[in-house]
Amino acid sequence: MVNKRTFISIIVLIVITILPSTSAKAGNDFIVVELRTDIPVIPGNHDYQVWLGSEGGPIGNNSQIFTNAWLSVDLDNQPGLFGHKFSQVGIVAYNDGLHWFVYAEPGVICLSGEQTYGNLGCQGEVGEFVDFGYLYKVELVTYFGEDYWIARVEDSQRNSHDVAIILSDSKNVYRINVNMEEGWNTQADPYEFGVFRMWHPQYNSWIDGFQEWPASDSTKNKLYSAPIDICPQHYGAWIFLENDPRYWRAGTSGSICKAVMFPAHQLFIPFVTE
Amino acid sequence: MRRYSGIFRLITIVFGVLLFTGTVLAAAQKQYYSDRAQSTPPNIPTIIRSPSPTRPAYCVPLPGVPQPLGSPSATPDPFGAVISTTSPRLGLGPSVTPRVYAHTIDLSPGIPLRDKWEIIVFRCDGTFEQFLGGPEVNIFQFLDLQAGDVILNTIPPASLMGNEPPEQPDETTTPSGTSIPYPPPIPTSVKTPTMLVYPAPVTLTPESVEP
Repeated sequence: MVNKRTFISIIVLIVITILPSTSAKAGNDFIVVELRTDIPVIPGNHDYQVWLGSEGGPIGNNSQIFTNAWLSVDLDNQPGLFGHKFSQVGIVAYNDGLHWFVYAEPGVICLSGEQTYGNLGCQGEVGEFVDFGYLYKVELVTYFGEDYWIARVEDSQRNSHDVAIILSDSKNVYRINVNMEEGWNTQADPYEFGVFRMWHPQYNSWIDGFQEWPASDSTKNKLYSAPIDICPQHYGAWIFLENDPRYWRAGTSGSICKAVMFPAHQLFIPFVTE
Repeated sequence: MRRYSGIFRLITIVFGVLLFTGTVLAAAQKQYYSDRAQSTPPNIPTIIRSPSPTRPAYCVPLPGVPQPLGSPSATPDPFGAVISTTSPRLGLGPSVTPRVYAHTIDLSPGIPLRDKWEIIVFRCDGTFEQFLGGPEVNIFQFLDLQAGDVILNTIPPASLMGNEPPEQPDETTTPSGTSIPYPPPIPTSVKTPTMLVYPAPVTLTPESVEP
């Protein structure tokens, strides 16, 4: 017969073997639009905005999954934890609804919502300023002489809300993205539902106001998926919405995995509503 | 006869001037709308909305939408002073006032805070409760939501936020000024001569649209 010590060893072995396989994992899927920053006026002007909207978020019962869309800047380029001073403002969907959020590695002061993410961010309550079905302007800006950045969210009435102060005096921007993301920590990637719209990323020239992001030429504004294999099986993009090269969707069921955004040669005749 | 000819010439000149002016104006307007930054986004065709809770009349009303502590600092007039006149930090407290929770229930005390999800519940009696739990805990099972209780916020762990996507490695670029799609490389061992003779599609810009 099996003695007591052997029995205990077998039990311990089973626990050690089974536990990791049943424990939750975590990961993030992205549909990235990497905006070009090679023209000096872009990293030098420190005021960026884009309109973001959501057609819907997670529909499962698991509350521990989110899909979101955001504008981000890297305020540094050093290696190591928080070395990029990655800072983002956007909208995030859980199965309870849509929220605005700010996450910034330099640390934040929340002017609205709640302090979150280990004091690296802020998040609004469900329905505060944002809801599904609308495009909202989000903005990251620092002004001359100031030693911080401001994260700003516009509501559906076009009221501007400074929602957070980002504690960085950086006047250099090393990377700018407008992305869709799924974040999960379940046993496997659930590829939860999320469809977001992105419209007209712009930078402030400070002389002529906001300008459309420079078109792609030999340097490109690139769309791609990360990891690569999520597209097109789970997430992807649709581009040229309403004949507009600066209007795209990203998320569930999108079929485009890689593209050059804002091509220089594309003629765009806007739908004038005024 | 000569008089009519003069009138006809005058009409022709006036008409020509009007036509020319109209064409110039239309072209200028088109160029104006093409160049300027757009600021009126289109509508999104959806009927989904965040759920708005229906609560019994005897419940304490939901907390109002928090207002920013400072007035919004609009983007300065581009023709005005570039220097911001006021610092939002100077007139503000350190941050939003933290909530006072009647209870904080930590369902995963053994793991770091940066790995925990957080759910904030507003009870019918006006108290706030905070639930913390790791990814292996279904926090919803522990909320014990009664009539009038509302989930105010769901907050992911810090470890799940802030994961920056990897940069795409530089690839061979298309010639300057073009972004016409190009076909993927074709293995030389496979004989598909017909694919080689077709020109690349010229309508859209994706470098490659995967099926």
